Amino acid sequence: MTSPVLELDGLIVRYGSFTALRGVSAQFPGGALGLLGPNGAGKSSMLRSILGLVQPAAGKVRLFGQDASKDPAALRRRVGYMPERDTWVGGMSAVRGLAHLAEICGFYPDDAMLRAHDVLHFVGLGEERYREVHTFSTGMRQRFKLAASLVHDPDLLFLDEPTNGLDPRGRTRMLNLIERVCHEHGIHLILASHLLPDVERLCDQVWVLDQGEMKKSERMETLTAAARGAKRVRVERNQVAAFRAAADAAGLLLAPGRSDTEFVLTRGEEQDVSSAEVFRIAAQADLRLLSVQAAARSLEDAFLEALTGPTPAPGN
Amino acid sequence: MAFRAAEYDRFTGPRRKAPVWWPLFTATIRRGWGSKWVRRITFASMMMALTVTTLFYFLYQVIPDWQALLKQFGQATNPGGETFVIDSHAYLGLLRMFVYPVLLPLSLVFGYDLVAADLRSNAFESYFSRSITPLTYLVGRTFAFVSFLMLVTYAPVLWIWTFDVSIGPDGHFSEVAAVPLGMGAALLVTSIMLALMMQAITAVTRSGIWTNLVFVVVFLFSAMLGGILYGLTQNPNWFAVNPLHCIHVFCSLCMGTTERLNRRHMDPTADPSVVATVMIGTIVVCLVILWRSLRRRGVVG
Repeated sequence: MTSPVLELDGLIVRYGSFTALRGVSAQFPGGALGLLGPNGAGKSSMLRSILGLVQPAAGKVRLFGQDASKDPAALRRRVGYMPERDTWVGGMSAVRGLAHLAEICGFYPDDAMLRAHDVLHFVGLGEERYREVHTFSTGMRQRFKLAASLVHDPDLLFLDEPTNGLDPRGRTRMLNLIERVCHEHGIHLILASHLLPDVERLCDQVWVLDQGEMKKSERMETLTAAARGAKRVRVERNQVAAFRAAADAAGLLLAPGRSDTEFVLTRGEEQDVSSAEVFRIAAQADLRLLSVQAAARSLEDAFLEALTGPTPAPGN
Repeated sequence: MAFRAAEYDRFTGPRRKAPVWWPLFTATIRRGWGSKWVRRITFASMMMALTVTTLFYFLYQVIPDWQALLKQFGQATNPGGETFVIDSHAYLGLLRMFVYPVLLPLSLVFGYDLVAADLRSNAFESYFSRSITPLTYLVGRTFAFVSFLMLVTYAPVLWIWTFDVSIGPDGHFSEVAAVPLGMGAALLVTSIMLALMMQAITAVTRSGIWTNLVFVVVFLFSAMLGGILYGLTQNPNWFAVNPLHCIHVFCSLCMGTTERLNRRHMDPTADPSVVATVMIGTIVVCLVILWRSLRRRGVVG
């Protein structure tokens, strides 16, 4: 059995009297993990613990099966970190700066330079590689940071807000790059982002942190699964009362939807409401339906639920 | 341009076992050498060494016993006084020729933006999230800085000494055998102090221009302060607040010529032990400033 990529066991991190992480325990078996949480939730402290930059007050961090506090420098060679803030080595061209960073991670100078060229081509900065990074635009700097996190060929990528400040086209391009690296080359990903659609697209597992505590650790499909098989139904305004009566008669529970002509139909715990059933009820009552769709929860719903506690089930 | 496929590939080549500060060392040297003023001063230093050795060569070729003649001339003009001989004291003069016009400006142009550039570009986040620690960063940068200063100053004086010893009269070697050690110690400690001072100032100012200004003001202000404090207290140890005075006395101390230094100077000089203490104290204070700056501004995440 292979050990998980990342394992946190009762992790407590303190800065003086302030406790940043309060006994966090979780496992990341590998793949792509979304790290969610409001500002000050403890994401940075978790990152520093993973990189072995802070000594936990209690608990353990195991990265690739090894204790992160023992020989953290060697473990950091296996991690590629893309920080939220812009960062580069001043006084060097983009390619020279990347080669320098690769050399720090143990590459021979020739290999490092070749690798820097390759990675800059991969992120689409091949034509700009001899420019200094401070002359780059925001989108180019984001891609440069991704290149810097990849140049030493890590086994785990930690990306902090990789699509910050990007226009829609740049964002799609960045997500495509990350997707290719992770899905095609087996590099594990931890993505910290406030943009939940990015996390939803890239990640297969989510950790929600708040006030130093792990609020939720679930697989993405579990989090965003349809809300107990509910259906979201929209009817014509003059048929609202009739539809309510027909649904009641069929034993379904109604909860208000996003507008006064929309309902969320459920049938108690763990029982799905099928589309065919909804159409049958409408046909029997001679009603016209404007739309019927699964009332799936978005990651945003799940995230807010994790932070504020469970929302009332539709219909209750 | 060679064709390169825009695709990501895993790296399968070998990785080396060199210490992690080594890339920082080479990058620092490369960055310093990129400055045209560093290259100019280096060239000037080499030319000075070449000029002195050429002068020696012609003197020995044209007037083989020029040292003896000079000694006789000195005794004739100043009976009982000091006469010119190539000894430790003469080498102290040579050393100062490389300390004031070479070492001081070189440390300024080499290191004025060393830590400041990394602070401005937030490079610490890139470094410290990899294998570099604040300690290895400090070691890599300082080692490179000091090595370059030593190369540009110690190599020329060593070259001159080797030339002098190889063409000098019999017995000359025994007179100046300890000179390389003394010059090496003087240049090493002075280089370490200047390199750490520059880095500490650049870590505080975060700007190359301000670093230059602060460096010059510190030297000028401390010279004035030393003079004022000496005038008020008549205690020559107050001169030790001036780094230039410290370097001056410390070079004499390393060359073993402190007694002659006090005899020759109209103004008294600070006690060598006080000077050594001040220099070590400066090094420690600069290290503390640098360490705090790296720890505070090098936060990852």
